[in-house]
Amino acid sequence: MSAKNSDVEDLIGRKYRHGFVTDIESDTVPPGLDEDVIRLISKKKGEPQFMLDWRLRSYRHWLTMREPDWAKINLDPIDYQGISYYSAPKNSDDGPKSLADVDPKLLETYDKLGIPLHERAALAGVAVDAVFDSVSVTTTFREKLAEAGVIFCPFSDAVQDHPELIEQYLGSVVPYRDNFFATLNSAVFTDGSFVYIPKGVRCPMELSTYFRINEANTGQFERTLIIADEGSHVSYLEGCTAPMRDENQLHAAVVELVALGDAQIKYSTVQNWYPGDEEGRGGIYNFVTKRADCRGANSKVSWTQVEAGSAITWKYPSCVLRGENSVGEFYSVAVTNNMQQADTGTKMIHIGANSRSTIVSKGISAGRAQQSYRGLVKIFPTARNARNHTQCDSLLIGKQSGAHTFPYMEIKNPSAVVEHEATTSTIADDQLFYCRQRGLTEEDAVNMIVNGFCKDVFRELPMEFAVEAQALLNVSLEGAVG
Amino acid sequence: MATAAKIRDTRVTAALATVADAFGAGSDAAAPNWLQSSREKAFAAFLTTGFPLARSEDWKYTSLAGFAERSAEYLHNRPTGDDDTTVAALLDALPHSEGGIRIVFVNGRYRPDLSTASGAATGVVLTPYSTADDATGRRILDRQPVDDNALIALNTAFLVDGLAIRVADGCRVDEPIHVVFASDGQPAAVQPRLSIEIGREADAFIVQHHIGTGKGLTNAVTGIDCAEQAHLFFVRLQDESTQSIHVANQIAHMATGSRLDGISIDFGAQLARNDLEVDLSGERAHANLFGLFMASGNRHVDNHLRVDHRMPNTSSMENYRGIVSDAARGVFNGKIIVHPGADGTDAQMSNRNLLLSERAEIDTKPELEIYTDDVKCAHGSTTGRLDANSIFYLRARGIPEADARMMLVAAFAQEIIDHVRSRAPTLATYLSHRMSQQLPDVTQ
Repeated sequence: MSAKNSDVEDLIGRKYRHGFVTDIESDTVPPGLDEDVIRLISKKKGEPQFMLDWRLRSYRHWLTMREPDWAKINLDPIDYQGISYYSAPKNSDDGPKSLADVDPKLLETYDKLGIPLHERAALAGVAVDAVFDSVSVTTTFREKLAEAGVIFCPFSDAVQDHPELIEQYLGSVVPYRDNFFATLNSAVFTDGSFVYIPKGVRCPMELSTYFRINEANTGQFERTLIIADEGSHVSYLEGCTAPMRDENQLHAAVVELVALGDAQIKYSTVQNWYPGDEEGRGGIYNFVTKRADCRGANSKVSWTQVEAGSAITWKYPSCVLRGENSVGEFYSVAVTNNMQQADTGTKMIHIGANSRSTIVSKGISAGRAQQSYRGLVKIFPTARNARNHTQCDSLLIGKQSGAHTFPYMEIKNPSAVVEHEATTSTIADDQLFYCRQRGLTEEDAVNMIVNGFCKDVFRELPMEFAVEAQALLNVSLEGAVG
Repeated sequence: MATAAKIRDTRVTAALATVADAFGAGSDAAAPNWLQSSREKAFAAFLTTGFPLARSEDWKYTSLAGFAERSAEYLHNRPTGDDDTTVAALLDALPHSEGGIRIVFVNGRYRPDLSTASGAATGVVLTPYSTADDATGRRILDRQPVDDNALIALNTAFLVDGLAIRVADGCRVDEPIHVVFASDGQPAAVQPRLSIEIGREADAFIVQHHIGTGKGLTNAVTGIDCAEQAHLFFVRLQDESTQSIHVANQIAHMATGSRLDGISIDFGAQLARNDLEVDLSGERAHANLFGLFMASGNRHVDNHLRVDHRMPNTSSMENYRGIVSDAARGVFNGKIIVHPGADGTDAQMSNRNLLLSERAEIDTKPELEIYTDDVKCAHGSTTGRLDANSIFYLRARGIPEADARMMLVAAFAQEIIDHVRSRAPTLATYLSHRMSQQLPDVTQ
């Protein structure tokens, strides 16, 4: 995306626009979590036995785990029994057959979010899977994708229609024992997206999912699984929003990507969950496990993320570079303002020879927000000639903001080259002066500088999503600048 | 947690019980009276925390199991007489001191017969703990770390002797004050202690030098206090035997306008762990910290560095280099913390490592924690092998490849040693010589 001043108008000076609640009758189970709730979820979704067994195994393991406390975040204890683990718009029991069957109120919601399913589909040729609370509402363009052999459907449909793929790949990248939140997700996840790109197919259009939390006191636990078979190629974007509420809501998702030989996956995220108000009341706890497994030779996975929302973000999209010559990329812009906290970064695990990774992380911290970059680059003895370059910059706006960097590098092969660079600075007076001297207002000057700072990452966003990225990137830096 | 880590933690916990009896057994008769209450307080603190375990973030890459077990074994031993022949041989190999001040400790105790303080300028006060009266002792202790972390607490609890160096206000000492801690290889747990106080506008040069032979065990603590506008040039040289275990803590408090030039060199030890903490607690205080570590065989060298910028316009620059070969492991952890209100901070950190063997490992973690916006902070870290272009350049000029490789490794290390040269050419020459003896064979 080209850096225009208007990008930054989205960064600065706008209130959270997605904070409305849609008044739809929902089917929500009472708060609480035990094996019966899991059986109920599984039953409501009509899942095969192996899914229920997997969920119960996860739940039993979860009971033995402790919530992690190593991240640099302050959070009040989460009451896992106070959350409702299933919420669905009521009339979706029968399932919408096409766009015409979808509740008009829901469509209106997506309209407000700036995702006009009809128009967008037509204009951009984008297929959208929209997840509302816990269930997937509609998936556009399914037929067209099916012609190419691409499977793109809600996770629950995939469990029905392609159980063999689910059984083979589910939990193969993020095992159910992986970590506290991933294990919880494995036990209770309700929906998400499933993508399978067959051998040698270049997915004919960008795929996209929108997640939205609507009900109060519900957690959203979605699970995305993308499998790119040999020689295939897919680009995928997810976006997220939630209503404004005073309570914190939990969002614990899991994303698993599998890239087989010569396959490429580009995964872009625009995360704009409700960040809470100026005093830090409310907002989403976004505790997400995202991991890609580059299994085949020459496979490539690229994560691009724009993290603007959430009261607390805890997420480390990672690449396990198993295949020879495999490539992992991570491009991130994280913006925190007011009382937001983010502890985010990536892991690049180099196992295959000649594997390469690039990390570009840009953090902007304003108000009283605290942001940390936490990353791991690990070179196994087998990763001959592995290469990593990490660039990690933070921009601080405001005396009380904080930016922290915790990069871990573990290198066990002498032929590897690992480089890490990090800088932290504020917008310098001389930069501002230079711009103002040339007739820019202070606000425009700040816009321009912030834009330039993020350019390396914005450039990586798929062109088709440039508009949405702008629309969704309306974090309010208001009051932080000038 | 991995099982290996669990087993190590069990070993550490088992060792703790034995250490507890050692304190009870009263092997401390030789300690001055004024130390007693601090020793007891520190021991209580040590028992509460115990040895750091593998799950502690600061000890993620370094296990203290070996240290704990050797401490448990050695702390029960009564010190025997020093082996003077061994010590003489060790001291003979040292550089001839440039101004004549050399204070020697053997197995943790002051040896006046081996020390020469005749060259000390007026304004320099050297007080071995064993000779300090109660009033002086209390004054020294006032400014010393007692139980800041488990290892410092352990040092204080078993402390019998140490050296306090005080440089009076405005006094400039050009000659190095060379403090040598030697161990003769007897199974003793040595707890060296160095207390450094540099007065207002004073300027001093101090070398803390550890040498030894055999399976030694050293847990050193250095407390540094620089008053307004003071300048300290401080070299810490760890050149113990490759079978020894050496852990060290240095804590420096820097007042307004003061400056610390620190150079930290690790040549020896089977397991070396060094923690340097610099607290820039006055405006415009500045620290320049250099480090060099060389590890071969199956040795393990860990450098932890923490710089706290607490006041406006403080600055720091860190440059650490590691050369790791064979099956050795090098660890670097550098942390810069810019506290709220420390506006105008400028902090730059660099860590570069040469990884020269298939079995060697480097774990590096340069961290920044920043709580205000008016800062300029950067860190960089690189790890790799020798640069093929540089080798080609030298070969194109007729230098055989094996020599070219050796030259490049030596040059990589020499850049750190060169920072000593301006202040102490003789010491720099000695360091270059020791470094070249340590160079791994990179001729293939």
